Amino acid sequence: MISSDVLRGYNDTMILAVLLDGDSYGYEISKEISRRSNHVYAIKETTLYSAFNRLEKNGLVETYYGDKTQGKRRTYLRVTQEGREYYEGKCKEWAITKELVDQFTQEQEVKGESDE
Amino acid sequence: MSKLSAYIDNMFIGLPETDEVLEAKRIIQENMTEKYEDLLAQGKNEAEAFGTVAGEFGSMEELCDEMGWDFSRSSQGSSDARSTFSSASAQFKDAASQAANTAEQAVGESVDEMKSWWRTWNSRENRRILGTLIVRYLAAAIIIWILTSLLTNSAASILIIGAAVLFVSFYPRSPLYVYKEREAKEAAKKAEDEAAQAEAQAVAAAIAATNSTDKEKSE
Repeated sequence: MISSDVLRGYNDTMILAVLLDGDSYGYEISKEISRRSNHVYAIKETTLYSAFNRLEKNGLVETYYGDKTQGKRRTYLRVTQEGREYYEGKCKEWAITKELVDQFTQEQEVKGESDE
Repeated sequence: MSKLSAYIDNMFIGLPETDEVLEAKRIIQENMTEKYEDLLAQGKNEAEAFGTVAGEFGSMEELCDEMGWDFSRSSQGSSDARSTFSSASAQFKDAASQAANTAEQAVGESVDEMKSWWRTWNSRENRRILGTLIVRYLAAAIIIWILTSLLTNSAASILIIGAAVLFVSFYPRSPLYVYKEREAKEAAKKAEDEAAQAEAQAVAAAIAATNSTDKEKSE
């Protein structure tokens, strides 16, 4: 399992990515994140709720109550236009971040190989 | 399920019951309950499902920081977590032990109660039991009368009467035993619920202690 500390800052992006495929609710979102990560990352409940709150407060998602099914009335999330723009920005940011970090991690790999 | 509710309640203990806190609790409970039910449907037992769901709860400190709540008011408040864990564990052990012994105690109590049931006969339940016994004795008396009229041997008649009295009183299940057994089951259920609640508190405190330790390490 990947530590949530490593991914801090990208939980919002992951949630938005799931919501871009359609409105969803808490458990379904966490299941989808786990599925897309090949079950190496399970988002914690408090992390998920914190992210929902942050996204809603910043106007990146909207919430609404779904229809009552099996006695449950789920709270759904829908991504807003601002949310889409934010997601695109984060994707660009990640590409740059990845390229930068790769410079250092690849160097470590080369060192490791030369030591052998 | 009551264990899961108790666990979540315990996580939010100490926080003011504002709309914001209650909404957060509701949504987290909604997600955890669904996950728990999903795990049960996948064939996990209740303990495994609870362990998985509780393990993925996360950190109340993170939630409090994000929401602007006073974490020190939360039950996870840190250094007290370890002592909470110890006391909750002890409480859990006591409750579990109580649950295990309740049935045995209740059987002993039911025997004592049977010996003195006549002292408390003036209750609706005991009157009902008394009525059932009278009907049984009457039925037995008729059968005995028929049997003894067919027999000339008095020793055999006495044996038949004795066997019938014992049979009617205790077999297959005396109404008194049924009554006391129900009481015993209710007591055992209550003890189990208490044990489950204590266990949930113990797990919550354990996670709080772990979070606290992780936080101290990261600092």
